[in-house]
Amino acid sequence: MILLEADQIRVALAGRPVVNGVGLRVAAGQMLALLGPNGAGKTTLLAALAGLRPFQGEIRIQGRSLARLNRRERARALAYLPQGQTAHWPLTVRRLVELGRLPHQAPWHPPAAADRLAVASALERTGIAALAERPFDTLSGGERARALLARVLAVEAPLVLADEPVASLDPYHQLRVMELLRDHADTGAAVIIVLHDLTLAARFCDELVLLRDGRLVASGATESVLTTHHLADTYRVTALQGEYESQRYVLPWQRHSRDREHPG
Amino acid sequence: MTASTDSQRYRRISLGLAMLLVGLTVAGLLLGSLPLNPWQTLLHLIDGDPRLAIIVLEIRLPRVLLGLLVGTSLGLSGAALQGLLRNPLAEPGILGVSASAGLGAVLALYFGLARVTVWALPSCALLGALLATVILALLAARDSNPLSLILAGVAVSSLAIALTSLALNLAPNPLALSEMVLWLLGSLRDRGLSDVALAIPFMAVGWALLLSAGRELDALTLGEDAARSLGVGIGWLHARVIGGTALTVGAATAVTGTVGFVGLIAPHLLRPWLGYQPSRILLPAALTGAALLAAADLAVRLIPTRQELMLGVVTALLGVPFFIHLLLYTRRTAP
Repeated sequence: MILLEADQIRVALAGRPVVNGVGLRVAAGQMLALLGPNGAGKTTLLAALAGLRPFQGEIRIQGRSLARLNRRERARALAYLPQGQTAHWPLTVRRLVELGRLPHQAPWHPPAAADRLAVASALERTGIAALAERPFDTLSGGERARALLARVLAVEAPLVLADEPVASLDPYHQLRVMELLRDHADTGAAVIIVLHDLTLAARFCDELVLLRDGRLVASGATESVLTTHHLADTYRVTALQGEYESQRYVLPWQRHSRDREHPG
Repeated sequence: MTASTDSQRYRRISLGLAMLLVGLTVAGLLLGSLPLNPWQTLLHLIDGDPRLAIIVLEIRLPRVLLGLLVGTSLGLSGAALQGLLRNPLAEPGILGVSASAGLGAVLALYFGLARVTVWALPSCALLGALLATVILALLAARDSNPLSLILAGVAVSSLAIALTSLALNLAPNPLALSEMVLWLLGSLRDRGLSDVALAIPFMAVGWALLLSAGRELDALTLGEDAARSLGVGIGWLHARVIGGTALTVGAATAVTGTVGFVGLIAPHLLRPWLGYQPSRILLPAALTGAALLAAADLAVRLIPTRQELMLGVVTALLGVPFFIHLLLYTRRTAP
């Protein structure tokens, strides 16, 4: 079942085209990586898919046009984790995760049994149940990442959009977060994730979408997307590639010496 | 601390504050600058002594009621604004609403309108608050970035203060000057039930707007994009909090003059006990604001000074050291 389908998406920020005619689709159980160098338009595209930026083109979620969904319907259909997400007030972890239940709660009503269950399950799955009463600002970086991910999982939306959720995490927590998202996809959700780590993308994702300057360069399976040619063309690097236990790894190794003139 | 003891604590603190307010109200009615024995006052009041009835019901009751209403408004709007702007140093004055209401009142005094009818001064003050809100909305409409809103508020506030100074500068005579200056200092003295009646409708609508924003302010903890992804309408949220602040603080300033720092302090007094979740601070901050103002007004009346101290002076004198402590403390704990 296709959970999200986007056609000919164009997004302009301050009059400048940032995403230019990109299309993608992701099915239930799938994990899709948005790749590309800095400034390629990944974050803007993801925000547009979440309904947070004005766009041209068509985005359908479970067959329904995103533009037709009201705020609450959209909030239940997709959970969004912004880049560099943090908490402005040091809420306790439990209170933070409870925010994910907002789309399901009627105003002025205390959390229902389903809300408490969803929060408990999200805390359990991310392994932070023991930290539930700790203020957010007392957590380590890895614990914070898991708490913010638990907030996203607590929405229990069929679609998860995560913008660089592993940035600035140690290798252990990078793997942990990727495994959590992979597990979530395996339970029937669809996950779209912005990544810079090509090996994580190759190992954990079913589908890769490679962008440059707001345009789609390639999409599909790892072998067809992370080719020597594409890596040179988009990231301007040469990478070591190989396989370990039948899983692919991609290690950016050498920068191309001449800087390409950047348009705009 | 589990979720259930958490809400128990919330209820206990709210209940405690409500009881404190009842105590302060009774004290405000029975105690005052006239050296009357509170117990005798109560007994005479029950007997139906007409002179005491006048003192208690016509002088002290409006004063106490206004103190509670204004304190509630300042505490509630302070808590809501700190949530909206995600800034612990935000307070109702930051939007320039109180300065503009002050300007309206000063102009009413300057042009002598205040002598025509008792409604003139508070009406002009409300008009000032309304005008400030419109300018603020126009300046901040382009984006909902907290910084833009704060800068717009600073601009509105500076303009209102400059125009107020101009009015003081050009004051026709020393008496008018002292009238305007004293009014700006904020006081609950010599207010009547007509002031209460004028303020209540605006405040009630404002309170409802502010109290309705709780859960959405919680969501803003995650930043604007994440809050929107959770179904929060950011524009509508801004409109409610700014509109609610304008109505409550505009009405409060219209009847008492500028009373600072209550809106800043009230939420901070509660956070060590209730945590940082904006929705859980709103109601207790309203109660705390009311208690602070009732206590400050009681102090103003009971402290024997040559001339009665102005309420705004007392709250600022208490507030500034707290503000400095807060600045130092937030700098220490900033990441």
